[in-house]
Order: sequence, then structure tokens, then C-alpha cells
Amino acid sequence: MAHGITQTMWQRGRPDRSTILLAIATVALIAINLAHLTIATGLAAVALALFVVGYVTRWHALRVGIYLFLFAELSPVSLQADFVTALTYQAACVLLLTATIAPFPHLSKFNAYARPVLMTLLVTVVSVVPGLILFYTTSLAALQAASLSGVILLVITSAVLFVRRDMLSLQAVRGA
Amino acid sequence: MHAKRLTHLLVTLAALFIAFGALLTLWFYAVAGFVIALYLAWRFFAFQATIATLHLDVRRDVDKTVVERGGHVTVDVSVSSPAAVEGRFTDVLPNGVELVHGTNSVYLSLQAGATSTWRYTVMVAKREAVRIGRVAFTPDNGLFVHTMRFTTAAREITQPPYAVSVEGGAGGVGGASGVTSASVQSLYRARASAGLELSHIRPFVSGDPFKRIHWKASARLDKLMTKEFMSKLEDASGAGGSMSLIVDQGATMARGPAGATELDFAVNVASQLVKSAVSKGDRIGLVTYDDNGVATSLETGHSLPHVSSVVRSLNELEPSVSVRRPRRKMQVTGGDVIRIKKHFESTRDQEVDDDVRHFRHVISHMYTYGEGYMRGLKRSPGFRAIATSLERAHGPSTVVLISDLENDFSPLSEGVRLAARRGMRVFVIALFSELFQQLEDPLFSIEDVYVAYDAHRRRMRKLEQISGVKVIEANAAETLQPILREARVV
Repeated sequence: MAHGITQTMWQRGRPDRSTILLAIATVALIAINLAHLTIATGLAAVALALFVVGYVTRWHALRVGIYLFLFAELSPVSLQADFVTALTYQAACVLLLTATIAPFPHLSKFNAYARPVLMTLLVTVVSVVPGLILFYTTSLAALQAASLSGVILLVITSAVLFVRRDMLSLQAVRGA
Repeated sequence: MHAKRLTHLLVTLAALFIAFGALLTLWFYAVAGFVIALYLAWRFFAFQATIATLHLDVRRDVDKTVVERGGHVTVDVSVSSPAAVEGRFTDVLPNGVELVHGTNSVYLSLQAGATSTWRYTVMVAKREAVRIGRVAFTPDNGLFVHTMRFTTAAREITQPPYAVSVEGGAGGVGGASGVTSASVQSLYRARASAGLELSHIRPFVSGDPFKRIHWKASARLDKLMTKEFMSKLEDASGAGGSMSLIVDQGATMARGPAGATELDFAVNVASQLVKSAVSKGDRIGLVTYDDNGVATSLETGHSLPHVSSVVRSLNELEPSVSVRRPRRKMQVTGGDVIRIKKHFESTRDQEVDDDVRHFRHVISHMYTYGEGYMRGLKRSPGFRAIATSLERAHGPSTVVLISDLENDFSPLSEGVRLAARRGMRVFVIALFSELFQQLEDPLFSIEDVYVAYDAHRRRMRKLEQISGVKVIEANAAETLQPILREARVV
């Protein structure tokens, strides 16, 4: 296996974890498309299904995974989506992203992911609270307040991502 | 830790979506940007937590812990982790080690508790111990990567000329075995069972016991073959003797490719001889010389500390730095020249030739046996090395000189002659690596190699003319070993 991202998705005739996750995400996205059925969303659902099949069977590569994610994001559902639909659709998109691009973290060690979840919630609160405060105290529209929260979140995320940390550069290893 | 290009792309996409949503009043894209940014933050913290709790269990196995220079070692690496992790694992190879087969860097997708194993082969060109103890592991979760450098308890591949090293470290728990002084003891113990060691096989002759038949070889060659054991040869060469090794470590011995220089070869040959001497219980001594004089002088002995000293000295041999010695001026005055000239003028033409011949003979005799010659001889490193080993030898013994015969050949040949005259069995292992100089020096033509080889052959012939001296020309251990056996050196 050359890389975790481009690993074979079918091993011994059985789909691996990424494929199952991709299938779930695709079904969820198609279901949302069909729930808001128009000609455009219907065609988008069919195209998405074909794209996923092509990705799994033939074009299994990082670049195609990114195209698939972008294709899912630019869905016609966006034109008529309310907040809940948008949130559900994005949750499915994130699953799709995880399945296609970034290997999903194993949840077997739940403790290892408890702290990240708490930290993520903290970041969410820090970014959403200013938006809510401005929404209730000023005449700012809900969407504008949400966008403001999004910008704050983006700034925090960028700060976290772009500050390089070279920690734990030396560790002892058992055995040898 | 740093984000991959994909992560940067996703951050940009999130920013675009948020801007898009705000401008077009579309909840969908505002939420999309928000969710993507949140997802990246979560993956970042999760990755950080994974690294903080990462605990790799690295185990290595080598097929041999002791190799000769230029030898190959196969390393089996097993890596496991109590938590699932993905990333590139790299065994950092130290200097003097070259990868010849497989890879020392693999992308691992470790499941919790599962072990991933792979194998690679390295060629050890370094002269001393090689430690594979550093590891670089780069976990990758698709969005972030981080390179961690581990220092593991190392497996040590020692590269002495012989399977004994007093300083050999086992590398802690689970480390290499057989590289300590215990190896010497094991060889001592092995003497008792030396008769069990297979020497070679030969065609069956009537009278050979059936249990000595080598059935596999007989089946392969379609005729009966008999096994010969070491003890036979040892009995023939006589146990309880003494062997003096003389190794040239002059500057010219550094010729040849890295890891296979003349000196490396000489040390490998010496190692075989030490091994043979230990297995037979012979006393072993070591004298080395370089361009400046005798560098190492260990008297003959067979005790465990003594053999360890010999091995350690062989391990530490390095070619000396070439120092050009000033040419000595001849001590001939103007008065000498005038006197000789007058002598020739007063001699008749017919007698001139005879006079010249006689004059040459007298001068040659005086020079050969004169004080100046003897002083020069004693100053020569090669001669001194042989003289030292003769002083240290106890009774008749075997002297093995390993040299390229290029430094002070005349005194060296005198030393060899002296050793033979004293009843020693003298073996000269003549090395020739001038060929490699062609690879290093573009102006060095093949004709130069031929000329150098002619000179080398002349030097060898001169030594061969001395009775009791056997000259062995070999530049490969494989070809040398049978000759040494035939000569009953080992």
C-alpha cells in the first residue's frame, strides 16, 4: 500500500471501512436531494451516485476524491435549503470527505477523542457566542450573525492550523 | 506538526463558502463553511491527541550480528502500536551502511495491537560497530503530518574482522547477542568440538566410513562424496604452535573502494587466521606497521584477554597518513671523486672494466654489510615489524605477512629472508589493488596498472626465491581461503 489515502478499497472481496462510510454518506446525500425533489436535484442525485461508483471502481485517487467532495457541495439543494437541511447535508458531506480524502480516526479509543471533542466544542462556543450576542442586541440578520461566527471560527482554525508545533520530537520507544 | 496542502485548500473553501453564503443569503453555504472549519479544528485536536498518546513498539532482528566488511545483513523490523495509527516509518541508517535490498522506509497503517513487519538488507561498509537505533515516524491523518524522531534501544551489528569483540554491546534488553567477550569463550569451548566442523567434501575412496558420506552432495553430483572435518587439517598443521601476524597499515593500504580497501581485506584475512588459531589453541601475536614505524606490537599468547586485545587492535586498524620522508644525501666528498678519478687515469684501458666491476662489488659489499646499511635496515618499518615478531615468537612458529609490498620492499624482503633463515614458516599474502586507482584517478590508464602489476609480480618473485617462504597472491577472500588451507596456514 503506497499511501493510506489511496489504499485499495476492496480487500478479499469485502468493502473496507472507508467504502462503507462512503456508501452511507452517499445514500444520505441522495436522500436529501430526493427529499427536495426537483429535476435538478434528481439529476444531481443520479450524477452523484455515478460519480461515487466511478470513484470506488475506477478513479480511486486523491484528486478525484476532492472533485467528488466539491461536486457534493455544489448541490442544487443549496437553492432551497433551510438551516436544518443545510446542517444535515453538511454532516453527510463531512462523512464523504472523511471517507474519500482523510482516513477516519478510529473511535475504538474513545478517551483519545474526548479531549478533541471538548476542545472543538469550546472553539464552537467561542465563535458562535459573539454572533448570537450581536444577533440579539443589534439589528443584525441571522445569516449575517452566522457568517460572522463562521469568520471567527475560520480565524481560530487558521491560527491553529498555521502555527507549526514541533512537539514531542523525542520519545523513547519500548522494545527494539 | 503541519497542515497538508489539502487542508489549506479546505480552509480556503470554507472561507469562500462563508463569504458566498453571506453575500447570496444562502444558509446552505454559510453552514458549509462553518462545518468544514469546525471539522478541520476537530481533526487537528484529534491528531494532536493521537500523537500525544502514541506509543510504538519497535523490534528488530538481524540475521547476523557480526559481519565482515562489505557483508550483508538482513534486518527484520516489527512495529506495533496499542492505538491505530498511520504514517511513514523510517529506520534511519547510520553512515557506512548502504541499503541493497528492500526499503527502510514504509508507509504503515497500523491497527490497534496488530504488528506490521517488513525486511530490508544493508551492506555494511563501515569498519566498526553499526547501530540502527534512530527512527523517524511521520503520522499522517490525511490532513496533518508530524515527524517524530525516536531513539530506540539499538540492535548492534558489529563488524569486527572476527566474531569476537570485547566491547560489543548487546544493546539492552532483547539486544544482539554473541558480540561480547562471551564469544571468545564460546570459541574456546568450540575447540572441544572442532572435529565436528565440516571442512570440505571430496570424492569417496574405498575405506572411507559410510557415516562420512555426504549424501546430499552425492545425490547432486551423482557420485559418492565424503565429508572431511576440520580436525584432520588441524592435526596436519599441528596444534599448539604459534602464529605471528604482521599487517601492513601503510598509506597505500587505503586503496580500494570504501569498505573493501586493501587494509579491510588484510584485516579480514587476519581475522580468519585469528579464528583458526583460537580454534586450534595456537598462540597468536600481532605486529602492525605503517610508514613511520611499528604501530602495534602484541606478543604471542592464547589467553582470553590476549586474543581480545588482538581482535580489538585489528578492529582499530586505520591506514596511516602518507608522510614523504626527506631523501638522504650521499656522503661523497669532492676528495673522494678526485681520488677515484686519479685511480682510473692511472689504470690501463683493458683493466678499467675489471677495476670498475671490482669497485662496484666492493662498494656493494660494504654497503650491504656496512653500518649505514644496517642502520637503514633497522629503521625500516617493515623490517622492524618482522624483527619484532621474531623477538616475540616462542620457538619455531608461523609468520604471516599481509602487505601490498610497496613500502620499503628491500628491507622488507631482508626481514622475510631473516625470518626464513631462523626456521620460521613464512607466508606472504601479497595484495594488489592498483586497479582501483584507475576508478579514482582519470589520468591513471590501464597501462599504468599493467606496469604496476609487473612490478608487483617482480617483488613477489623475489620473495618466492627465498627458501621456506610461500607467497600467496590473492585479492578475494573466497580465492584466498582454499590456498591458505592448501598451505595449511589455517
